[in-house]
Amino acid sequence: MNTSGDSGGPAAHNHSPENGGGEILDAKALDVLRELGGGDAEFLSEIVELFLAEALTRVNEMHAGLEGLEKDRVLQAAHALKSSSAHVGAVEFSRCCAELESHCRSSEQSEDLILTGRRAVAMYAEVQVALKAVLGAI
Amino acid sequence: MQKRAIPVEFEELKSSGTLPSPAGVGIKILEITRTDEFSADDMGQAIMSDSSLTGRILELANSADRAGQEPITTVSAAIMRLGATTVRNLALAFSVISERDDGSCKAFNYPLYWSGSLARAVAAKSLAQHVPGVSSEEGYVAGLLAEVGVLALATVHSEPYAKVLLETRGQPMSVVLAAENATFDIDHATICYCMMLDWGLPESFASAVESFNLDRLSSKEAAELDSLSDLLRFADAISSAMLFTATTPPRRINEVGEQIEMLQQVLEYSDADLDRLLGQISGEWSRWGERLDISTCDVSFSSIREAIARGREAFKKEVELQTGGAIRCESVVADTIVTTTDAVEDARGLGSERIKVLAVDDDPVALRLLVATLRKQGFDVTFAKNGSEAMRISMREGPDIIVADQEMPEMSGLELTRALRRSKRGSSMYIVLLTGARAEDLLVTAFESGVDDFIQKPFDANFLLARLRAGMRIVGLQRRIEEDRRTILRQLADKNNFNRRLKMLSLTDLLTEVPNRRHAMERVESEWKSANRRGTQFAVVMVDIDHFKAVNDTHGHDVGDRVLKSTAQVMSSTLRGEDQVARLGGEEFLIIARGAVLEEARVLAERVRIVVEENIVEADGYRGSVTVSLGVAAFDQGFTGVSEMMKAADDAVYQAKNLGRNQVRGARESSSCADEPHKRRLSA
Repeated sequence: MNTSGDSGGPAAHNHSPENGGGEILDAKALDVLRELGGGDAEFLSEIVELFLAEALTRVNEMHAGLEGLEKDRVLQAAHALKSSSAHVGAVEFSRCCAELESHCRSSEQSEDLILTGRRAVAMYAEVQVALKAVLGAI
Repeated sequence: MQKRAIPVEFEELKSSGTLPSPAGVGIKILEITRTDEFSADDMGQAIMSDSSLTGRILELANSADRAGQEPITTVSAAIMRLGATTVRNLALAFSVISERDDGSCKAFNYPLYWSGSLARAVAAKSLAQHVPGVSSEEGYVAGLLAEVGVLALATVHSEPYAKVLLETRGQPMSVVLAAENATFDIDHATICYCMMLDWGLPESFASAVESFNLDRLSSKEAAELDSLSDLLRFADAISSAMLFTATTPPRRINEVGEQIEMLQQVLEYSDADLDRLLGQISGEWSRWGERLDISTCDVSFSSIREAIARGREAFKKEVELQTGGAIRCESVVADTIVTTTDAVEDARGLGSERIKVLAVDDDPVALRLLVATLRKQGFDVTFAKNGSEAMRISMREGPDIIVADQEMPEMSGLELTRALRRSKRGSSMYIVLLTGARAEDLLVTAFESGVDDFIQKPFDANFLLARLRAGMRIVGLQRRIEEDRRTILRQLADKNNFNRRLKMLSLTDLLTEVPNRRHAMERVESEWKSANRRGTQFAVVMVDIDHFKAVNDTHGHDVGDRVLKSTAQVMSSTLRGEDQVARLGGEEFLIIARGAVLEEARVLAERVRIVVEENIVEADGYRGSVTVSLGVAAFDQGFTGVSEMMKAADDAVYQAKNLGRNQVRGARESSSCADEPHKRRLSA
């Protein structure tokens, strides 16, 4: 399951119409899921639905953590989202979560943390839209 | 709808509560659809509460046979397209499968049963388009459940049915049915019929399945494919062909070959057409197998064709050998039930030899992917959502390999590893940790804690499998080592056991089963040493049965032996735990009394004398008792050595004899007859 990233930078995003119409998703990762399901779309939709349900809770956690400046709470959410989002091809979002995670781990001022956190929350909205489009196309 | 009366034997099977049956949603669907006017909406709701069931039904509704139609995505659309009854039957069939487990009937190959049923279902689904009035979904359900009566017997009557199956192994189906009737007053064809009706399937459906079971592979003169039971017969032949092994008997191959030839005629198919059809069926079989977690195998139809050709050739020769060519082949055989045998199992790694993997991750997405990846590779996968659940499952199921996420709340992968390594069971498992990118800091600690390998998240499937191959090799080695260890331990135990028995035999008197002279003398020596070293006391009592020669001469040696045995036993049961009686030879015994001084030993000897005198021996018409003369010698009498002490006890016995027998004498007690013991001895 080669989701671990050779997509380069934002410029390398895939524009294939199959991926649900957004450049926020890596079509290759979705293909890997289709393949794992044996060409069976139900598996892909199961994984995406699992992710959406899980991510919603995590993003809410992240949001609340940012509001209350609770580094640990943000850290936990970012860490979990980093890995599960990569599985569904949300590469850019995963990277953003990784960045946020390292901000949380650093002892420095939290301005970058807040900015990155807000970016992550905003980006998730796009991920969600793109993934729902993927589901709709199945 | 005319239904036959349900036989009471079926009701009895049903009341056992162990008949294969739908579960969960299946039960709910049965309830909802009990009447003919059920609400399709209610049923749709029930199905949708189970997502995997929903997926399976949608897959079937969208499958290749219905190409060209708009794909449907909802259960209600599936009901619209297939009809409520069909969807209902599908839901029931799937829910029976999801309830399956490997039951306890030893002669019944459960994985093979399900593999064969699935192959038959897929084949029936494909062939259904050629049968007027049978939809592909109906074909699928019928194929899947066609032999459920056999499964029912194996489940409810596992032991007697194993016997039936073994006794009828390789016999025509009519023999199997007759044996079932003889044993259970009902056969699997009838059970099948009743179960179908019980689940609310139409009567026409139930009787088609029944007639398939009664008349399988019947070699009709004119082949036709115009009913559900014809469909099942051909589908069953295809399924059997896909499960051919090196051990399938030629006769069976011949029958299947005939059926497939017939099918080709009916469909007017060329060889290439047939290959295409069978290839498509085989592809669908493995796809559904994966879906339903049922084992399948890769089938090449050119190799099946060759197998059929070879099998028929061999069969012809067999027949010629037996009858000069004039035999009509017996038509029907229950091979799918038992005789297609374990070769299939070996080839496909079905059954117990599959490597068990436990997947552990708190992230549901990652866990689902991990499980799917591992299952696709044929591992037997269980999963856990956190460390403590993983610990419980590990202890219960003993997986060979564990793939666990490192970063989990409460119990991390590393902590799980440490906990496992502390247990005996967990010490041999192959543990792989899934880690984030910054795992380098963790490496040393982790290896020290007993982790076998690392894989970085998000994992690459090929990479994961390559790493697991290393694990499988180790699991294989460990299994071999464990097996060798068991063998060695068993051999060692056998050897120890044998040695112990040899030693015991060498120290036991075979007739009376009390210790023999050798054992007795060893014991006296050791008591002597212990008495000298630690100042403990002990005494010996020499016992001689009075007039024993007369018993032997009058009543024979058998009675004599019984007297010896009985006397030994009664003496033995009179003694305290630390005292011991041994047979020195002939009618002579020795009692070793630990801790006793002369007077105490005399009391003991007197007790023995009384119980022997009172002991009635019955043997071969003899009924009577004997008496004994006893001589006591004790360590506290100051003997110079063991032999002097033994001789003193012996002398005391002679005195007792001389004084009239049936009495106790202490060593060195004065007696008028003590000076001529040797004369008296002759008359003992």
